[in-house]
Amino acid sequence: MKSPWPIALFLVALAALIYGFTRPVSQPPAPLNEKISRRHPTPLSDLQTLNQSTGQNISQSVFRHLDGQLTPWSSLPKEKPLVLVFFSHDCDCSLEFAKYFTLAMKNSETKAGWYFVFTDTPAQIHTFMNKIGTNLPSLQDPDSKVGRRLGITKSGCFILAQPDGLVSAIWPGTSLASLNDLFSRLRLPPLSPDLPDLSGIPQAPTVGCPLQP
Amino acid sequence: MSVVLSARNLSRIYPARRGSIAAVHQVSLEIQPGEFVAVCGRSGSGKSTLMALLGALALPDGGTLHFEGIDLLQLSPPKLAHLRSRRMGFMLQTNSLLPGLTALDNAALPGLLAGEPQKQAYSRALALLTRLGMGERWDAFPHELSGGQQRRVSLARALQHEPSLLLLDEPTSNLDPLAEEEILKVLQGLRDERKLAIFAVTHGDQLASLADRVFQMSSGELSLTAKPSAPASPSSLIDRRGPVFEKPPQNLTTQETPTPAPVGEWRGPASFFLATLILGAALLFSADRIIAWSQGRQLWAKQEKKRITEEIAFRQLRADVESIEAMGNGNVRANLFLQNYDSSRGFFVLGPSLRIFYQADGHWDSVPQETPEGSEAKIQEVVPTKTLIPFQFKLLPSKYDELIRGYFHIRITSNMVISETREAKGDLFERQDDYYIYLQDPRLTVEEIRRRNGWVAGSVVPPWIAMPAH
Repeated sequence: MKSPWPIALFLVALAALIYGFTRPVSQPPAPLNEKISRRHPTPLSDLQTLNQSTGQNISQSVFRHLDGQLTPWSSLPKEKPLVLVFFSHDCDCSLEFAKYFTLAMKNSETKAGWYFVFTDTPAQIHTFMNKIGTNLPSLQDPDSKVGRRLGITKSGCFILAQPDGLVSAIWPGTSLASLNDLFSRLRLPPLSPDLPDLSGIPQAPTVGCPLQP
Repeated sequence: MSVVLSARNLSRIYPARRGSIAAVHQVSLEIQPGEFVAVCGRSGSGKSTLMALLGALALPDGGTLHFEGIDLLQLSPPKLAHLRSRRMGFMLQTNSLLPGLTALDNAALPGLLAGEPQKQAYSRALALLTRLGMGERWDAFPHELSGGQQRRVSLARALQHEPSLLLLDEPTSNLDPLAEEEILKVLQGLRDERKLAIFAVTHGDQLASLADRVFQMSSGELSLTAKPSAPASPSSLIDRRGPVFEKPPQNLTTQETPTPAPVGEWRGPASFFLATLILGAALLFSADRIIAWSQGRQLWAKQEKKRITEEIAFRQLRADVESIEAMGNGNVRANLFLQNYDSSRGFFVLGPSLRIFYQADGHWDSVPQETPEGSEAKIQEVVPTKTLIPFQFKLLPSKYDELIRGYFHIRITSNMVISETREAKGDLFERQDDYYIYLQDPRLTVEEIRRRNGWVAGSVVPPWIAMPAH
C-alpha cells in the first residue's frame, strides 16, 4: 500500500492556502465625497445680528494693501459708495462666489467702488486670485477687526457703505436676490438670472467658511 | 508498631430467595501504619462489601473491628461518623462529587465540615489537587471534568483531612495509564511520608503490584496471594523507539522476504487511520472554507450594493429648495433641485413626493400643493447639473407662528426612492428630507417687517431664507 502522507500533507497545505485567500478581510469605509460643497444657508441669527449692525460708521477703520501699506478708510476713493465683499482664501464658496461678484462689480462700476476684504496674508490672497484667474481689488482686514465690528463672521457676506463710512446695508450671505437688492439700492437694473456667469448662484442667502480672525 | 485496623472473623450475610449468601465470610485482617494492602477479585466476590465493613460504613453480622485500638462496633452512630470523618478517608467507586461545587470546594469539603479554618482547608485542598495534577482545573465543576479527573478530585477529597487509613475502591478505574501512574506515585509518596495505611480493592495489576500484601477475594473469603509483576509503565511504553524488526525475520513461509520499514515511515493500520483522518479533515476544512468564502462573497456583494445605494442616497444625491417666488395673492411658485455629485456613477430617483406645511400654534398645518402639469412623480435620472422639480402652493393663513417677525415658517417634506437602475430593481433606498424655509408674508411691506423686527432703516429684508436640510 502506498503512503497517503504526501496527499494528506498536500491537502493540509492546500487548506492553509485556501484559508489565506478566503479569510474575511474588513472593508475600509468609503471616503467622504469631497465634492460636497460646504456652503450653507444663512443662519437666522446672522440676519438678526447684521441688521442690528446696519447704520454703523466705519470711517475710522484701517485696512492694509497687499503691499503691506496701511490703508485707512479716509484714503479710499470717496466719489462713490463702496461695496466690501468678505472672502476667505481657502474657502470653496468664496472661489465659487467670486464670479458672481466679478459680474456684479463690472455691471455697477459706474455707481460703486468695490473691494474684496480678506483676513488672510497677502500671499494667500495672491493664491486666491491666481485660482480665480482675475485680480480683484483687495484689502486686508488684519485680525478681522472690521468684520468683527459689524458682526460678519463668514465669507460671502457683503456691505454697502457710503463715502462717509456709514454702513447702509449688510447682506448676510450671497444670493441673486441679495445682489439685485444691492443693484436696486444703487439704482441699477436687476441682473438677469439667465446671464451665464450667474449660473448656479444661490437663490437664498448663502454663506461659506468662517473668517479667520 | 501499633495496628491501625484490626478485623477478626468479619462476616456479612445477605438474605436471598434461595438461601443466604455470605458476601464476606470469616475474614481476618490487620493493617499496619504505612502498609498498603490490596484486595483483588472478580466482580461480585465481596471486595466492596469488605471495604464497607472495614470502614464501618456497614455493620457486620459477626466478628470484631478495631480502629487504632477503638472498638468500632461499640460506638454510637454519631461517634462512629465523627471518627470516620476525621481519621478515615474514603474513595468509593462512584465519585459522588457535589455538582454545584468546584473541584477545589469539593476537595476542601471534609476539612470545612470538620470545622477547619477556611484558609487552611482550601490551601491544603489546592496543594493536593496540584499534587494530583489537577492544580490548573481547581475552578472546574464536576460536569466539566473527565471521569479520570473526577477520580483525582475524589482522591484529593479523601486525603483532605489527613486520615490515618485510606480506603479505596477501584481508585484507578477510568484513568488513562499515565494518570494511573501519577496517582500511584502520589499514594506511594503519602504512604512513605505520613505512614498512611492504605486498603484498596482493585482489578488492576499495576495498583496491586505496589501493595505490600495482596489478597485474593473469592466467594467472600480472603486469601493471601503473590504480588503480580509490575506491568511496563506507560511512560516507558511511550518512550520506546526503534524498528519493528530488530533484524529481518527468518524462515517465513512466504517466499518474499519483507523489507523492514525505516522508523517514521508509513506502516500499520493506526498510521493509516491517522493519515486518513487528517486527509478527511483537510478535505472537509477545504470544502467548508470554499463554501463559506463563496457565501461570504455573495453576502459581501449584496451588502456592498446596499452600501453603494445608501452612499448614493446620502452622499451623492444633493437635494434642496432651489427657489421660492411669491406670485401674488398668496400663490407661491417653488423649485426643488436634485443633483448628482459624482458624474462617474449614475442613479435614478422615483419621486420626489412633496408635502408642504406651515407652522401655526406650534403645529404643522398642511398646505394643499398644486403640482404643475407634467411634473408628477416619476423615475428620472439624476445628473451632475441641477434637475429642477417645480411645485406650487397657495398660502395666506390668517394666523401663523412668527419665529422671525413677518415671515411664515414653512416645512417641505420630500420623499424619494433611489435606485441604481431605471427599472428600480434590486436594492432600493428611501430617503426623506425636511426642508425648512422662512417666507415673507406678502401682505406686509418691507418697512413693516423692519419695524416689527426692530431693524434699522435700510437693513436687508430677504424675500426668503432657507435653513440647512435636516
